[in-house]
Amino acid sequence: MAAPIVVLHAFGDERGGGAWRDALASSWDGPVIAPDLPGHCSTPAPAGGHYEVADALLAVLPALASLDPALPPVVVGCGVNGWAAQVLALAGRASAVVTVDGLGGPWTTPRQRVTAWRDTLRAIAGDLAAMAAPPTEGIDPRLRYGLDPHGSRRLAERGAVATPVPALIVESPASPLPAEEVDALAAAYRSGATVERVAAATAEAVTAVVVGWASATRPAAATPARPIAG
Amino acid sequence: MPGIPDSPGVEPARSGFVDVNRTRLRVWEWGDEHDLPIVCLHGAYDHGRMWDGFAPRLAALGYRVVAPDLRGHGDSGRIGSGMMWNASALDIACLARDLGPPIGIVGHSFGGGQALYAAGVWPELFRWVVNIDGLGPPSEAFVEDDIVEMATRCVTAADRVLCSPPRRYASPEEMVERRQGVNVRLPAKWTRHLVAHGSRPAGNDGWVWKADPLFGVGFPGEFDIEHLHAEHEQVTVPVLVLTGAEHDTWSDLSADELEQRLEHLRDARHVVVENAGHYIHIEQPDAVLAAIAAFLDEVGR
Repeated sequence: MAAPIVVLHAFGDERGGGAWRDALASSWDGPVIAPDLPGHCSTPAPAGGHYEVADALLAVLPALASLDPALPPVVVGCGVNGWAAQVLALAGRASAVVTVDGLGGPWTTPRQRVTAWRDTLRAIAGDLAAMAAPPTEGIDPRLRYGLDPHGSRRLAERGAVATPVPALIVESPASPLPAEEVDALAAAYRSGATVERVAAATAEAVTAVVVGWASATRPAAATPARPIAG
Repeated sequence: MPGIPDSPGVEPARSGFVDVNRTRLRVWEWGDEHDLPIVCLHGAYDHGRMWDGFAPRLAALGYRVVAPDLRGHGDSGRIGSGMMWNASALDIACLARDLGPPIGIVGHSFGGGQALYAAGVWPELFRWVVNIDGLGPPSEAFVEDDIVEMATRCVTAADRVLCSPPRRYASPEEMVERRQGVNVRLPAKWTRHLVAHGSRPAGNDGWVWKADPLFGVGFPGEFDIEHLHAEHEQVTVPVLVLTGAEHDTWSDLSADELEQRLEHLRDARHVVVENAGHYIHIEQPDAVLAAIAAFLDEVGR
């Protein structure tokens, strides 16, 4: 049996994990875990109603806990949730990691980041709809403010160097990073990384790339051990 | 409240809940509600009742003192992750907006950091900041740990919190013992008080802390000493920084580091309080009050 696949869809994706569930249902051999993340579709906003980059990771951990530890999943993280996927891989919870426009960036200084957080907080505080209780139906207005991806090249590089499993880096023209930055980071992966470019990071296009890559690389844990011939 | 010992300070004059920023905060109040408001923020794992001793003194200067339980703490709403820094600052801004800004803000430890941060983001809402031993952890805390270790620590801790019940204690006395072992300088009557209001029975099966266990689950990220300095540099309102002269748990900035931190605050003065560790306002409330009164004489109420 193929390894399970876990998808952390892009923050603010109006279809939640729906497009991924559809695309993977017919093309992935193993179990598919592609939930609507907190605040998306039918999943309530996180407790306290404010969005943080840890949300995606915390949202899928209970589902990961129920998987066979001998068959760790391929973890896909889109956009800002690429970092959550990388953290799961760094923690030894993945047999392979896929980022989709998800290596962080654009690179900024700490001062620029602190200023950006300040501006976002001021904007949210001034937006009555975003401050009101999350709606029970429809799109939460607070999602519009997005989530800051980490903007530290140093952090991205540390993550890359330490990633213990094969990595697939899917990039589209919407990526926050220029191609040469992506290539430089890809070269830093200790475990090796493949860069694939797609015209648009749709669930269908990325799924096709991931399925092709997974069958070509067969992450070790996803291949049942063959008995040694006697 | 049955089972709750008498306060070592003064019971709040009023208490209730306010709905702000998609959560519900428990607030405790002392003083006349028509007086100028001051918000007091407790530190990590504490709650608004830690101001029982100091708040009445501030109120006697002619202030309405409002001390919330921060989100994820005390009787306030739960949190979605341990990364509540921004969400909590938004809560404080809402509270200030409701009380009639600009207001004064006092914060201890983590709450002192929150007070500085909120005042940096919304200078129009805050008149001044008193930071009680809350300029952040020592720089060793920001030294780059092995990223695999950080990720593993995060995921393991999150798994434990999400997939198993919170740690239970046989009795509040056991919690007092645990807390006293960490905060060795805290007077015993205050440790009992902090535990009494910081714990709750877990059905018929022992006691648990009220603080949301997710608060302690970190997430590897980019935050470092440069980010902390940049946050401090945003603060334009007058700041009084108080530190204790005695070595204590969670008071671990060296004199040099403290100097460096102060350099990033534009308009700060620093007072060292003798015979106090981390809980300066609990150990030496009169000295803290005198320092604040002198500060307010200088910068205005």
